[in-house]
Amino acid sequence: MAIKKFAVAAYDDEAVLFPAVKKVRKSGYKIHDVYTPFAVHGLDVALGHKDTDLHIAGFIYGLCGTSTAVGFISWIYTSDWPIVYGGKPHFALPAWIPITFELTVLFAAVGMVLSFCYLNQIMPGVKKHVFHPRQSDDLFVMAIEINSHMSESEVIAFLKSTGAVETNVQMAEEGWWYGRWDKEEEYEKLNSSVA
Amino acid sequence: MFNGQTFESHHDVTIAGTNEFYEIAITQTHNSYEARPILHEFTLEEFEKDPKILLKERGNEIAEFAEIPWLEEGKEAETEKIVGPNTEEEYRINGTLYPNHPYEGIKWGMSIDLSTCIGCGACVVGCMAENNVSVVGKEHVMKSHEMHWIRIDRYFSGKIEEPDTIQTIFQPMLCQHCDNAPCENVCPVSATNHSTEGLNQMAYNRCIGTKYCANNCPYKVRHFNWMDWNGADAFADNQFEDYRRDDLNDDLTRMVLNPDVTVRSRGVMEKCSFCVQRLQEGKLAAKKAGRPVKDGEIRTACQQACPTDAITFGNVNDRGSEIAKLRKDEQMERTFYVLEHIHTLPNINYLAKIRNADEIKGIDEKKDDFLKYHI
Amino acid sequence: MHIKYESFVREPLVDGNKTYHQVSEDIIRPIEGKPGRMWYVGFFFSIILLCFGIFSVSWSVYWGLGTWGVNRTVGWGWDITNFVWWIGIGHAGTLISAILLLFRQGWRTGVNRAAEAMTIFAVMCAGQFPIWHMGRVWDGFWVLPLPNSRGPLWPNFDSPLLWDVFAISTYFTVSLLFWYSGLVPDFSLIRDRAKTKLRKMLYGFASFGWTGTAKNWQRMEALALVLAGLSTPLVLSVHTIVSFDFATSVIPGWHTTIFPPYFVAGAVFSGFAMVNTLLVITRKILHLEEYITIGHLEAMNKIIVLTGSIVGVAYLTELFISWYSQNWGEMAAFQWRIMGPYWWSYWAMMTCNVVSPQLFWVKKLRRNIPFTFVMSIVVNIGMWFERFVIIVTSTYRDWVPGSWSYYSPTWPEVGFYLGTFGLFFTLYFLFAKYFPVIAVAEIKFVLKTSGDNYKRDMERIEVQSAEEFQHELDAHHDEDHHEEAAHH
Repeated sequence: MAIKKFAVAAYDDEAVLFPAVKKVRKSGYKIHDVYTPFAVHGLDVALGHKDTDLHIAGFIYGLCGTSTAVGFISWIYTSDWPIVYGGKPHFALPAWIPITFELTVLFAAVGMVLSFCYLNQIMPGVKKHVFHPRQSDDLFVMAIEINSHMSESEVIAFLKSTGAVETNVQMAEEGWWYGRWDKEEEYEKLNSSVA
Repeated sequence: MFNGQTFESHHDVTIAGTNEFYEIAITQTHNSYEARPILHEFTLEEFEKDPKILLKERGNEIAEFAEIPWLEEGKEAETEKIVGPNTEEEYRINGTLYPNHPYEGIKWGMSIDLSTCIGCGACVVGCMAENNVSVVGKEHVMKSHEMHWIRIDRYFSGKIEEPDTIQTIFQPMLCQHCDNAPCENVCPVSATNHSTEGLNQMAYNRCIGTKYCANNCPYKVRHFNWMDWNGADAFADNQFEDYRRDDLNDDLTRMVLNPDVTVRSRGVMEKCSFCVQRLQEGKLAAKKAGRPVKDGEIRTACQQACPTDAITFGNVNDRGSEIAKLRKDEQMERTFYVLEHIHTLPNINYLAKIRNADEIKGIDEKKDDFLKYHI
Repeated sequence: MHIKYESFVREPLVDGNKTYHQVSEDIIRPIEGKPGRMWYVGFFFSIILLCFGIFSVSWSVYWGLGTWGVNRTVGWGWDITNFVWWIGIGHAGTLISAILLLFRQGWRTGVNRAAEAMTIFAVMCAGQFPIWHMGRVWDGFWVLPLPNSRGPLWPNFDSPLLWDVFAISTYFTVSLLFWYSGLVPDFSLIRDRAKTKLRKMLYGFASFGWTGTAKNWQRMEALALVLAGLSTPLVLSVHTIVSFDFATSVIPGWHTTIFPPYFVAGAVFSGFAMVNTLLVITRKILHLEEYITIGHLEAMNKIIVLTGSIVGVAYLTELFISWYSQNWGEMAAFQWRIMGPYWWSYWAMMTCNVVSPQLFWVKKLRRNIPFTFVMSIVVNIGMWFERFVIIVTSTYRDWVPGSWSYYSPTWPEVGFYLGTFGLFFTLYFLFAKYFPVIAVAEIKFVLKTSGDNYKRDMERIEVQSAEEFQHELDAHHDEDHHEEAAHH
């Protein structure tokens, strides 16, 4: 991952945010991402993201759970060590339904959460750059990457025109890193020299 | 010092009532069998009049489950509900949705004759001696923690003001070794299962002590090791009193144990095993001699101790054995199983008590105070 | 035009004049400050109870279960009663989080975080009982299907107790994952507000580096929806499986097909009552009355009267069927429940569970806070008696009268139960201090639709005529179209 320069705009109202996103995308700027304190419905569509397939993964994990349960139990009872319990036949499928169901749910849930963490690139100890301390509080923060062909002041002026209540330029780590916040403090030094 | 040969006598004693209470430990707190069909008793007169009376009573409970009506094409439904020669087998197979496990080799079975049983308790003592069953002491008997693998349930019926007319019936109750054992289904760690010879097997060293099997046993014949009676667990010496080692934690007392039978740890469930150590020994002897087990060769401890030969034990699959003849032929009209209507398929049958009396009091509230007041 | 309109028939979910920032402040500030006096007092008592519980359990494990009152006839007493009681309580949290999410009930946002925490702590308390009631606890791991050198010998998958093992562990795991995944964005809020290095490090670690991009939220919503969809059958199945501990046996009073729905309804009933107990106190102490409004408590009470009625109908059905079946075992079991030596427990159960929740049909009582609090305790007492009645009064007099007995608990059993209260409240106090007790992100999500001040702003739309409304809508629509055309 690399350190890049970003133009950051903060909005305080969803009604302003949506037209702003539309305008920015139409004008050809590539939005790095929009950070919101809660799920804003329609934002992913406005940004052009496609729908997530997480639920399909969940379904597949669930099927793994079902087959593991039925396969394992029937192997034990019919092949590995058949025992007579209460006069029941060795293949007593009705008695295995509760465990099968529970393993299905367990595999689906755990698998989905792990996939969720993997896709979102989050994990205990993972750090990402926070563009604005109020992005989890009450502001909707948009970050646009500024490459060498763009003019900083132009981008900032444009963002102000879309209704941003705050704008600034930041040097930031683009992706995630594992470890301490010290790295974050390095950017503070970088940013104080840029601003 | 009292050594059994000293005597003391006093002549200046008086007896007077106090208002104090002294606690006595008893194992059975309820004296009426509540007119429940767990045992059957008839007067000689009524049994002679209709020898099939018991078979009809049993038929009322189980005969309709012995048939599958929609398979009996063209046949009229049986109007008379009676247990016939094939009813038990049909009930075994048709009374459940599951298929049946066949028992083709030895099938151990026991019969207990309620007419002959005098309630002496020799079977209880014999079983405890043979199987290292722990004596738990007064405090724990009062908490219903006693360990008797076989117990004698004793039921009274009659008028309390006329104690000489009270009828008593004894029912030795032990593990019925059910072919459809409710206990086997519920053990989470597979500590109990069914052998190919019809025994309900208890694997002591697998039991983790959830006590579900005891809860599910309708006969309540399973017993839990509530304390460390045998010094057989990892917590050393926690059963001593008065700062001395007593009970079976003492080297001398331990010599009372039967070396052929294991002792159970604290926290483990135990119950009658049909003296499996004797079964194994008998089968081994027969195998070494190159012949099948002969009927009467293997006797359980309770059978051996019984002074009236109320207990018969043997291989039911052996046509010539005493138990097979008893069940199928000689005593078929007196044979019944306890709680057979819940389809546990017990391997112990009881023989109904025939009284030399004018009436059976235990089934009539007007004649039986114990039933009327539910004591 | 961006209208966030909700009908005026619905009460606001957030009272007062709240902005997003105010929401963050109200809920997070208690975490950042020092706890009040009440917190220290409550926490201290919880620790004391927990220590007594640990002592009771150690005593029982060292000396043996013979120190308890359970015996050869009544093999399960307070231990399993308490197990089912705690598990039942736990189900409310999952119902609020999962089922109300699927039913799109916005009011869940005020209560779901605390309710889910309650579920997790309740399941932890419940799990203590099956563990320590074992005769040989040290071999308890044999219930797990781990490969071993004893055959390998596997557990018995036909056993309802083993179904319990799988069900409870799955339920705990899924609840924990669902609860924690909702907490991640809220932890990121605390992290971003953190003024001290320690707080930033701890909450940063706990928040997994969450930043809240649109794609993150999209996946979060998908995850929440699927976990809710998985948790819903879990609520129903876990308590059904617990009821199978009894329903699959042969003992009269246990062997009945009514248990699965009866237990599930009873679980929701007692769980909602416990949530009310906790929330009435929490909202007062943390000054969150504007987020956990009377409307929220009223909604909980409506569910209490609904599930209480189901439970009442179930009791009456059981009585009817015991007569209708003409099965001597079944009839006797109920006779001994109502009139035998344990009659007092049966009537306590009937009074607390059937009679008292019916008072919630009265709206004034539903919206009365002290009454809600008292009722929530009464309901939980009644539900404890229900499990006691089922477990003890069915086994103490079953098929064979020669084995009939009686059961009284001894001090280690009572101590064990008190210890689980200690565990539960210790965890709950820690939760209330260090975790956001309300789901901040979810409140913000519903704020502009259901917040008091925003709803009042919508009044002008309420009084508009249909034509005016359509005109406004079209005007905005044209505006957007003109913008688009200008760009081409």
